[in-house]
Amino acid sequence: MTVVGEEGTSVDDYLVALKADFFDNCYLQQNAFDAVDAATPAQRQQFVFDKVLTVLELPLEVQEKDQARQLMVKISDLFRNWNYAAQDTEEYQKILEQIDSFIAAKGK
Amino acid sequence: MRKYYDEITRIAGNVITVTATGVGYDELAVISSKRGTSLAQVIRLEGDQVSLQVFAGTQGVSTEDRVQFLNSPMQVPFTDDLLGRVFDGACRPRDDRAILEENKVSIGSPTVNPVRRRMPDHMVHTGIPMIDIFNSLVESQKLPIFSVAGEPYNELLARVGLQANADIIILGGMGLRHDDYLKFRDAFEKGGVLGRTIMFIHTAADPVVECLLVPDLCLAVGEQYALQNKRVLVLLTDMTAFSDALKEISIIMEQIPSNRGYPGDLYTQLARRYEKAVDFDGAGSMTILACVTMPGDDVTHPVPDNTGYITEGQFYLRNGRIEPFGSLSRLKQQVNGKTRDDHRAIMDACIQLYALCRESREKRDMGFEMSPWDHKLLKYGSLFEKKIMELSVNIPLFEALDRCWNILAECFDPAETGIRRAVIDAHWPKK
Repeated sequence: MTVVGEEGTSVDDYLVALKADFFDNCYLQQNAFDAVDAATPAQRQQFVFDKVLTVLELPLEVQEKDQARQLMVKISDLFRNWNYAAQDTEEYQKILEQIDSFIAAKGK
Repeated sequence: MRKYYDEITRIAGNVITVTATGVGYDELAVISSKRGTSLAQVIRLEGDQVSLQVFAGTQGVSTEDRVQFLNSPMQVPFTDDLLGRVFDGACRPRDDRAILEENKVSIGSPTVNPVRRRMPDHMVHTGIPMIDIFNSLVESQKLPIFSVAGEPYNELLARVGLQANADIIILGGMGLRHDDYLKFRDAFEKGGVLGRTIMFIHTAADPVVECLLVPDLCLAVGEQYALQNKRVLVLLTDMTAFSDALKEISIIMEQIPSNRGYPGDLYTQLARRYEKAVDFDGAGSMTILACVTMPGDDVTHPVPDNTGYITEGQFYLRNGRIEPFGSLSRLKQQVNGKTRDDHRAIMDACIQLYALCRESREKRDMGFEMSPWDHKLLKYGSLFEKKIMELSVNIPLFEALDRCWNILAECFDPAETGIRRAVIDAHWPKK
């Protein structure tokens, strides 16, 4: 996109770029200053990875780029807060439900 | 009995060599010549050949002149009468007031034993958001300001001196222009802090060797105050001038030059001084903020390069602003977790978004179309620069954090900032 600009990129390709950002921000990166996010057990990592993968493979129906961006901002925010929530807390379950309903509705 | 030596075997630059015995390293001597008397310091011993730096220069010194050794290294008087005074690099009054002679302490003493130090964890509040929020200064930290000639680094240093919550401010000027010295003095006078300030000023017109003593004088006095339970802030400007003075002397001494002509022990010389920064267990502390001008804005120059290995981070001052990228206070995580619960979140979010804004600007400059998101980032960037990054902004930490929240709320939806929900719920400005 640095070569052809956003206007030279199709919505589908743009979505791929957004999903790559999402993967980077919400799975590859951690906040080492957060007690929960600093050390995630392998079991939880696998569980989160499966959810991340589902989102990455989710066929999102978007017409325009800003709509795509807003969808990905929403799901990124959910995952980020999910990473901060200790396992088996109320907060953890609540965000998990929100993520599942996002996936079920394909972002709609 | 006074003992004089009169066998001067060599005069080169500001260094004379005299045949003498029973002399110690760093010891002071008085040289009497036709043009008066001057202090000199022993800088090399080789058998009975003693080399001395002559403070006033060797002009007028002849091989028949007499040298008298004082049997002690350079000393500085330590009394409360020092406060509000201005001295030169040889500790002579620069303000036409009385010479102080009492309670002398040696300069250039060794650094403090690590077991007598405590883990630094007190923040120094400066009222400059780019320091307080993003790279907090910590008591007993040693931090350089990397800058270029022409940037307002002396103004920044003076402001930190005025606004920081320190008990004693010690300014060490090396190779200063006379008007820069006057600016510092006026700033401290107007700011009402002159009464707790001590200045050791070497100007560009003074002998080069006196430049080398300025940091040692500052740090020796600072250490004494720190031992008396005071929080001391030492401001040094400019350490590149100090290093250049080292270089000049080492070349006269025919030492083998190292990188770009600087002496091979440049690192040691710098570290010996920076490592004086200390937070005493059971007493006060000494924090060092030093300007380092980078010739040609070259960070690989030996002076900033060596400095970077000693200090705990650095500030980059560019285009009149403290550059958020590259600037780093390595000790900030010791303090920014316990100021306010949103401090770290704001620090991360604001810088991330500002980095994205820079990317958007790059895109715009290459002629690409701006998306609605780009417009948000551009708006944020200009607000952030005007209300937070400008050096003229002078607000306390909490007010600065609130201001960051207002800027974020003006430009973004809460989810776009990447800040966790709990913090957003507690601090996002209500409309």
